[in-house]
Amino acid sequence: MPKKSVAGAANGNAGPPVESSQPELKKEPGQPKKRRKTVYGVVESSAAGPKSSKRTRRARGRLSTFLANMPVDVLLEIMTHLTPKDLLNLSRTTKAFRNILLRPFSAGVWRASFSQVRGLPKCPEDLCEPQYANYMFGDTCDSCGDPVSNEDVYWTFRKRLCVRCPKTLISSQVEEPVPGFLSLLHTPGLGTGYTSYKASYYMPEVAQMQEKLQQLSKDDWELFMKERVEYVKRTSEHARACSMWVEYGWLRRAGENKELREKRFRSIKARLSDLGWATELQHCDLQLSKHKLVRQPRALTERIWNNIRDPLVSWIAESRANRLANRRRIVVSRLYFTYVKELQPSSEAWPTLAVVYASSEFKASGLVNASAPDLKAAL
Amino acid sequence: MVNLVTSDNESFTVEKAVASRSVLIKNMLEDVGESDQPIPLPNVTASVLKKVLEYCDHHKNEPMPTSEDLAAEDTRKRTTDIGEWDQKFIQVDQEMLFEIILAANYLDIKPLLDVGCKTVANMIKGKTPEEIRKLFNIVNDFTPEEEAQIKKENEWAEDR
Repeated sequence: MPKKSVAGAANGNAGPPVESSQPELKKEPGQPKKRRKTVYGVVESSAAGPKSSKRTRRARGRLSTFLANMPVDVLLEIMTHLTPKDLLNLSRTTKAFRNILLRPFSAGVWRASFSQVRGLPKCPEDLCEPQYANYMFGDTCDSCGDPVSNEDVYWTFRKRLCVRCPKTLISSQVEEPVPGFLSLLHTPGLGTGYTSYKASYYMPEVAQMQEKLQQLSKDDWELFMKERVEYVKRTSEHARACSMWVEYGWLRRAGENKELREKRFRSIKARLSDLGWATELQHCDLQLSKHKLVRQPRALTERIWNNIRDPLVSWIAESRANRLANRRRIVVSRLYFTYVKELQPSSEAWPTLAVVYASSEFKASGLVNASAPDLKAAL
Repeated sequence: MVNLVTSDNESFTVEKAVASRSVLIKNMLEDVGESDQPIPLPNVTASVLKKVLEYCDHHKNEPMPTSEDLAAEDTRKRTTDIGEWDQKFIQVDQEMLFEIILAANYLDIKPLLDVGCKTVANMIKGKTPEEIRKLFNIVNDFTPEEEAQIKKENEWAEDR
C-alpha cells in the first residue's frame, strides 16, 4: 500500500477508512508489532527494510508524512495526553484526524481526556464523547457556527448559541396540543440562577415532539410521555451539574493556577540559583515572583526556560545593579551628613555633595574607605 | 556486549543492560541465547539509534516497567510532566522527534515512547486548529462549508 501523507488527502485522496476493529491502546510488553496501522490503513513495517531508509532524511516542509506514517495506536497514545478542547481542535484540523477522533474506537481517548479534567460531570449516556466535549468545551454557535463564549450555553437544550440565533430557535409561545405536552420539553434556567425566567422552549425540540405525537397511537403516546418526562428530568439535572461546573470554573482555575504559578516560581528560582544568582535571589524574591515571565500559570518546560532565561538573567542583573547603586547612595549620604555635622559653623551655605566629595578635607577626613571609587559612581 | 546493525548498515556494540531496555531486543536475546550474531534493526537508522541508545544508557539502571506498572498507569491521572533529563534529551527537531517515537514503538521501549508522545502532546496543547496545522505542516483539506459543518456535527462518523 502506498503511504499517503496527511497533506496528500487535500488532493482528494481521502484514503480508505481506518479499520473499524478496536486497536489496542495498551499493548502487551514483549509482543512487538509486526504490522502497524497508520491513518491510511495497515502498513507492513518491520520486514520491509529498504523502505524505512527512505524515510530518514526529508526536506523540511514535508513533515506531515511523518504524521501519516505514525501508527494509529501511537497517535491515540499521544491524544490521551490532550485536553478535550485540544481533541476538538485536532479533530478539526484535517479529514485524517477527524477520521480517527470521530470514530467509536477512539472513545477511550476522549474518556481518558475527560478524566484529567477536575470535577467534570460524567458524559451522559445519550451523548457520544465528541458531542459532550463540544457541549462542554466548544466555542462556536451550534446553529450558525459563529464564535461564541462559554456563557451562551443553553445547558438544558444542550446548545451553545450566538446572540442572533435564539430569536429564531427559542420561543415562549408554545401551544399545548394535548395535556402534559409542555412537560416533555426542556426549559432553560432550571437551577442556573436566573431570577426572572419565563418558560421558553427550543423550537426544534417542540417540532420533534409534535412529530412523535402524530406518529404514535394513544397508548404508545402515554408510554412515551412517561419515559420522556423521566428523560427530561435526568438531562436537566445533568445540565445543572454542567452549568455549575462552568460557573465555578474560575474558582477551580484560580486554585489550579495558584499551584501552577508557585511551581513555576520554584523551578525558576532553582534554575537561577544554578546559574549563580542564589545570593541575589534573597534580595529580590518578591519582585521576581511578580515578574510577568514568572507569574504565569504554566509549567516551566525546557523550551520555555530557554526562551525566558536571558530576559530573566538580565532582569536579575539589573535588579542587582540597582540594589547596589541604592546601597551606595545610602552609604554616601550617611558619610555626607557625618562630614557636614562636623564642619565649623559658617555663614556660607553647606557645601553640596559633589563639592564635599571633591574637597581634599573630606578625602583626608578618613570617612572614605576602600569603596571610594564606588561612591563616585553613586554621586 | 550486544551488536546491533541499523538499516543503513552501521553497527553499534553496546552493553546488554543498555540494549535490553528495548523489550524487542531483550526478547530476541532471550530467544537466541548468548550469541555474537549481530541483531539487525531494519527499521532504525544510525542517527536515530544513536539517540535511542543515549536514552537507554542513561536509564539502564532503572527497574524495567512491569505489566502491573503499565496497568496502574491507566488508572492514575495522566500527566504531561516529563523528567528533567528526558526533557533535555527530547529537545530535538520535529523530524528526529517523530523518528525517535517510531523507533521507540518498534523497539518497544515504553518509557521512551511515553516521553515522545507527551512531548508531541505538549506541542499541540492550547493551539487552535490552524496553529496545529502550521505546527505539523499539514494542509486544511476541508472546504469552508465542510469546516462550518464539522463544528456542528460531533457525533460518531458513519462507517463508509
